Parts: sequence; structure tokens; C-alpha cells
Amino acid sequence: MSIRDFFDKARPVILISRDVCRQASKERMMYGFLLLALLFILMANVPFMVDDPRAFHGEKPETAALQIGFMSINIFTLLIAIFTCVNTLQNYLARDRLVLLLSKPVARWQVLEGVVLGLFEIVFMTWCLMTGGVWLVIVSQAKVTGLFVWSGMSVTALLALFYVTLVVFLYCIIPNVLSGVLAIFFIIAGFGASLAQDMFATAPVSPFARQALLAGLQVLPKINELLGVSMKTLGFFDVPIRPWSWVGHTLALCAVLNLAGCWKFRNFFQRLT
Amino acid sequence: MSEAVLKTSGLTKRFFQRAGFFSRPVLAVDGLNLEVRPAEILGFLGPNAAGKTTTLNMVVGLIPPTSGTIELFGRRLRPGDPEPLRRIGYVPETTVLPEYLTVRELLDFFAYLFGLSLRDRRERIASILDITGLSKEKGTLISNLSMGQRRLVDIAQALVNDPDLVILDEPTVYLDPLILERFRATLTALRDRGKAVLMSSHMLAEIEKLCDRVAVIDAGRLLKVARKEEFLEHGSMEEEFLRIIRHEHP
Repeated sequence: MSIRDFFDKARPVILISRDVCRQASKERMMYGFLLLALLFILMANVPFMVDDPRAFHGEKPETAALQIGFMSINIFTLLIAIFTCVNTLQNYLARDRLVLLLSKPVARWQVLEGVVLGLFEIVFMTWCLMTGGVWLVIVSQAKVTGLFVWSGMSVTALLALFYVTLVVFLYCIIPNVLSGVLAIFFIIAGFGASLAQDMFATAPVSPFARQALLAGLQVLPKINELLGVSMKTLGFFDVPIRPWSWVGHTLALCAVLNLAGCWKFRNFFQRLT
Repeated sequence: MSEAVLKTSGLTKRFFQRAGFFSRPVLAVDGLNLEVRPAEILGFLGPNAAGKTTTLNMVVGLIPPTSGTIELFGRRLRPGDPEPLRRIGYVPETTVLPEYLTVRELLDFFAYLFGLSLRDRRERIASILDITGLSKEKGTLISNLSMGQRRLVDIAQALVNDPDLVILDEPTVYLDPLILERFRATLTALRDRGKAVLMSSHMLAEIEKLCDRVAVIDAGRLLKVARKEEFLEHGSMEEEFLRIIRHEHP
């Protein structure tokens, strides 16, 4: 494939992603969540205002501030990603809307990739605003450059990409609000993935069944491990953790979900008919 | 005779319709053989649930046929290959236009999907806005347009690529007599430029005024295709249409 061919294929994807981003930016619920997140992040100033170190279990004010910011970004990235995605998909992939797009010379995978990219763009923008908020608190209060805040929080952006691909994939199977609910269940299951892995490893079952159970767990995101990577970078604790294996696992999951979504999207219009 | 721009052979669509807990098979289109030639307007008539929209959805690749073939400009339409759609303009029966865009932004979006350069897009959009009479509304948000104006935008978006075949599914709904007159002139001008038009409609008066040939379909089967003059030999278009549907002889 020549560079020209590549750009010809990428053009509709980028165009659709811009349009999806524009549609998603009309979601009022997203702004509501963003406002709440920024209010929570503002609370990260509090540890710098309290003189008594016992108030935060003896932790440094920066660490306590980062913990507040980290939790806010984690929770609100999830909420923004799921709600914005479901609402936008319901509008953008509605039958009477899609009919115009699919009657143009655009492959279906290009439509779906454009949708995923557009949704990630908007969620990423909100992530940038939230992380920027935490960074400003650290810079202004602790008088340090605090660039590690961005790399520390970047795992949350990776998780946002995962949330988006998951919701889009589920929406291709169940084109209604239930896809968002299922996505939340799937993510909750991801928190228990490492615990389940330990349990299955010692379960009194045949080796084949054990291998099958352990392989099945690979389809769940390893959220605890990813959060661990983030916490290590942010300086909450120091444990031997291999960031790239968990990051690679999540990226692989995103790729698989994306491919499966494209495959399901081939006959998506018929499901709506 | 010129080569057909659209040719369907034995086009069949069977799907399952839900009925309570069960599904029952429905034969929506049954072995349809249809041709649309350059520089003609073909009217596609049929009662409700005759299979008109299903046929058109198959022709533009939205749903795959159960059996049979579709040839567009001599090239067979295959699932997942959107290339033959490059020379087609399609106005669906119902659409939901993105309300956050202005008329010009929407047309620019679709023109860009066809890969037109900035200069071509500008020229093309200006010409379409002029043809459809939407020049004054080019900067208006779609949410602020009336139903008739939105229908005109539907028609305008189908013309952004200067298509050789325009497919219209019930295009005259919501159009007032003034806009209808402009619509007729637009279609006639397209035909005069050698373009083909396939128009499905319930408005028999429009079909009578506009079309060169008429095809009548019922229960998925093609009942008659003939020149308009043949249809009008024994009375009005409406009388002949009813006779065909009721299987009566003149």
C-alpha cells in the first residue's frame, strides 16, 4: 500500500471521527461529569492548607493531593467514557442517520474506526483537562514542574481507550443502552481478574480446565495491575511491577475488541432494520 | 441501446419477521429483473410493503440480497465493496440529519467523503445550493430548517458527487408545490445531462409528469415495466396502476 493509498483510506476515518467528536461535544452529561471532576480536583488543594500531618496519615501533601486527583480522574474518566459513548452511539449509529453514511463509498470498518477514534478524542480531551487540573495544583502548591503527573495519569488515558472500544464493541452486538451497563459489569469483573487468577491457579480441577479458566481471564482487563503501574509512577508505593506487559495486554485487548467490532458491524444495519 | 447503468437479475430478498416468540419468513423481493438506462427517469411504483425500499436498500449496498445479482455501471456489486457507490446519489425514504451542522457543512462533509478537493467542493456545493434553492439557508443549522427544507437537503446531499445514477425513495414527501416545481426541473435537467434516475413514489401525478418508463412491483414481484405512454393508453396513471395491482384487464 502506497502512502497515497493509506491517506485515501484514512481520510474518511478522520472525517467521521471529527464528526463524531463534534456530536459527542453536544453531550451535556459529559460537561456535568467534567465539572464534578474538576470540583473534586480542586479539593486536591486541601492537603496543602492543613498544617497537621496526621490529617493525611502522615503522608506528604503532594502525595495526598495526587491521591485525590488520581481517584477523581479514575472515576470520572470511566463515567464520562461510558455515558458519552452510549449517548453518542445512539445518535450517530441510528438507522436513519447511518443510512446516509453507508450509501456513500465508505467501507463499514472505516465508519466504525472513525466512531472509535472520535469518541476517544473527546474522552481524551476531558482526560487532558482533568490531568491538567491536577498538574496545576501540584505546580502551584508544591512549586515543582510535576511532569510525572502526566505520565502517571497516562494509564487512565489508556483505560479510557479500552472503555471506548469496549462500549463500541458491545454496542455493535446490542445496539441500545444495555451495552453501557454490560461494559460497566465487564470493567468491574476486570478489578477481580487478578484475584480470580490466583484462585483458578490453585483450584482442584483438571489441568485442562485450569488452563481454560486462566485463558478465559485473559479477556478481562487487568485494571488492578494498570492502576498499580500508575500508582508506582505517581510515587504512592514502590513495588516490582512490569508496566509494559500490562500496557501491552490492554492494547492487545483494545485491538481484539476493535477487530471483533468491525466484524460485527458488517451486518449492523440489518440488525436495526 | 445504451448499456444499463443499473441491472438486477433474479434479485431476491428473504428475511425473518418476528411474530411473538417465533419468526416467520417473509419474501420481500422475488426474482426482480430491472434495468435503468442512461438519460431516463424510471418510476418505481407499488403499494405499501411491495418491496420497493428493500430493493433500493439492496441496490445501494445497505443490505445484501439473498440471491440474484446487482450490476452498477457494468460492475457487480459485492458486499463490503463500496467503490460502485462512487457514481450513485441516494435519497433514503427517511433520514435524520445531524442537527449541529449547517447546510453547507453537511454538504461539505459528504463531498469530502467522495474525496473532492477543496476547490471542487466549493464549486459543487455552490452549484447544488443554487439548483435546490437552498442558497439562502447555506449557513443555517439543520435544526432550524423546516421539514420541506430538510427534504431538500436530503436531495442536495445526493447530488454532491455529480452522480450518474440518482436513486430517490419517496422524495416528494413534505415538498410544497413551489419546491416540487424546482424538484421536477432538477430531475429533468439531470436526465438531459445523460444521468439516470430511479424514483420510487406513491405520488402517481409526479410519476406521470416526470418519468420516461414505469415499473410496477407488488409483493416483491415485478408486474409490469413499460414506457409511460403505454401506461396512459387506457386512462390515467392511477387507473392503470390499480388495474395492474388488481390483475384486471382493460
